[in-house]
Amino acid sequence: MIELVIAKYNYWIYVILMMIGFYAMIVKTNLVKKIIGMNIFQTAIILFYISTAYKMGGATLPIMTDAQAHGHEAVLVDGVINPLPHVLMLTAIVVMVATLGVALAIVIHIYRRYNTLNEDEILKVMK
Amino acid sequence: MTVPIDLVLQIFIIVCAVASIVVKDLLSAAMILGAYSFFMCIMWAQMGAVDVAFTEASVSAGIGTILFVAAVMKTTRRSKD
Amino acid sequence: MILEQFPFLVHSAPALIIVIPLMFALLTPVIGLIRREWTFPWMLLALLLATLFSVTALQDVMRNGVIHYRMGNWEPPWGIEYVVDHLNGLMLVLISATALLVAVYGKKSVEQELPGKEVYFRCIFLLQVTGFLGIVITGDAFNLYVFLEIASLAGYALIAIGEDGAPFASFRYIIMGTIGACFYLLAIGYLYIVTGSLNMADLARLLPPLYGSKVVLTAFAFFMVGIAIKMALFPLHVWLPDAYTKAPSAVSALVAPLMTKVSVYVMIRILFGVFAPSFSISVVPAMKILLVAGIVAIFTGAILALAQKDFKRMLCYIIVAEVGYMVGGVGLANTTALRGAVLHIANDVVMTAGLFAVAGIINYKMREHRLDDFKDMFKRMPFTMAAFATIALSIIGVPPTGGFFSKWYLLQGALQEGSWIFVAALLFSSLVNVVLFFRIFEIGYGFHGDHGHSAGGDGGEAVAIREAPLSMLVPLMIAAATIVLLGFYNQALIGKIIQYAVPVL
Repeated sequence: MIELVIAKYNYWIYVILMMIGFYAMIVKTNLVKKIIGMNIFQTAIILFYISTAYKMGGATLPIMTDAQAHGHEAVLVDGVINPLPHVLMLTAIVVMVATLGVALAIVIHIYRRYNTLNEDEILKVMK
Repeated sequence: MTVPIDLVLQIFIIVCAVASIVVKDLLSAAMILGAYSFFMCIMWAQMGAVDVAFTEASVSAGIGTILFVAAVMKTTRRSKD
Repeated sequence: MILEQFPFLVHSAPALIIVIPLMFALLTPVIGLIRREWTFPWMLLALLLATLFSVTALQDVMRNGVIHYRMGNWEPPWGIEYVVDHLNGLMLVLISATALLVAVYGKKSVEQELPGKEVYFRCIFLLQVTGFLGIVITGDAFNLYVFLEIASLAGYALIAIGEDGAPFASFRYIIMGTIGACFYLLAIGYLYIVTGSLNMADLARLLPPLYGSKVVLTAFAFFMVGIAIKMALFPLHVWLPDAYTKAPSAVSALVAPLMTKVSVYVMIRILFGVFAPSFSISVVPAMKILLVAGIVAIFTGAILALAQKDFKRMLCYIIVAEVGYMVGGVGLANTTALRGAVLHIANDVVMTAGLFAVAGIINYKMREHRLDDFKDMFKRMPFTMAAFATIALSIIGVPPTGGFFSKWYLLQGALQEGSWIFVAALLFSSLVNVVLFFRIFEIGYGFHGDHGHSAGGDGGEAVAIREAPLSMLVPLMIAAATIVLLGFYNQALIGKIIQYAVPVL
């Protein structure tokens, strides 16, 4: 049991971070805090993907230095880390910042109309 | 023995995440979120994802923090919780 | 059709369907800088080309079988592949045709509601259509996430420029929608760890030996919850009424028919394309859960719709009930019910577009969209209300409109499975729809003498006919005619397209 925690601590950290972000998105009544929670939630997922690509025990980056010299050569996969999740996460980071931009623009709009960023007060005004 | 750098980094990351949602001043929360993004960036670099690291640094820690600060400047710094 | 003269165009139609609206969307602000009025024909040209290529792709599929288009000629699983089969082709034609009609319809409405912002509206409109087309055409799971986020972000932006209270409704939609998309991303991550592939067909091949492992079960659970949020399945539907009610009329007419139905398509693709049907039936009791969720959604949607005084909000709860039909139809897990569910997707896109178009016309005339605004509408806008009556009859489920036939197939499927509660839910929902729409007919014919306000109508016997503008009326009449045609030709539709779109269970 204890080696389950110690060997895969990356995944435990990602779950804890995801729950922190989720808590902030749901419980906090300030709109900017909700967006901060959304940011933490999405970066935790990126942590998850990158830790699945990592290999312990001296794995290096997949940089092939002598491919041109020797032509086709088989690569020992145990020595290089998996580069595909990195590429997927580049897309995810861009999506994250785009969502951040749209959400913050809407928050500025809301502030101009209601003069408060607290969800409870906005709901009271809207009733 | 060598310090397990990623464990230390991850403790810092959790502390930053909790701090940024607990702090009552929104500008401080945005700054702590920027620090969180930079810690994440160092952890990607330590795990070998250098391209993700500099994308995260430039986009999320750079532009993301700028967007947050701009939004907080245009709205209000106080927050009730 | 005419495109068959150029085999290169027919061959690369799957890529062009995505590239054309995307490129046109990016160039729209540039055109808007030169001359603002040119953006409207530009947008229509993009959507017309997208519709043309979609119809060509569907015809190609019906003649030659499933199309596999490899981006950059990379073989999957290393490359991204666009797969067009019968289900896809049908959805592509529906999405692009609906977008074209709503674009024509939205011209007057946008000029009235969003003065000065038409160029940006059209740009984001095209981006959202790109997102929807991309979701249905792609055969790669991560590419679907990218297009899902494109469509969702454009939707958040479009909904936020509506009436008073729209930014807050859009903010709540952002929070819930991001959770849904992130759950979908997590599910892809889990599946990638155990199989090493992101291509849907490849996953379907690699997953069956792994059905007992916890990772696959977790991935399935995350998929279902994420898609349920996007689909507005009860109880995750709370973002829908506020967001679609307060959005501008043209935006509601585009997003409401398409977003939830495209998410139902994604659910069908995952349940039958990525995971084998036997997984959802025997390994995990997902079908039973979906059936229960569908039944509860139908009941709550119907009951909550009765309580609304605002016409658009009532339509939003009708959407929640319609999603319940489709999810319940999938949950019944037999061939007839599945065919009914896919036919219902086709019918519902047309019906919802028509109903929100009527709501937009009422908003255009009366500046509001409450039920009381329908007073004397049958005398003042006879053509609009004739189309509205046709679509209302289709939602109730009266032959020969299309709504009757999809409900008929769903009922047959439910009777075959012996699921009496689903039959009761369908009949209850039809009765509630009768009450809802006949109430509007009553108000529209003026049977209630002391209700509402009659802005613009003379008090006496003769009420002048002041019809909606032609650019708003013609798409509505086309929608009403299409729903009747879908009813007449439903046998042909099922026989030629839908029969091959769903697996035989």
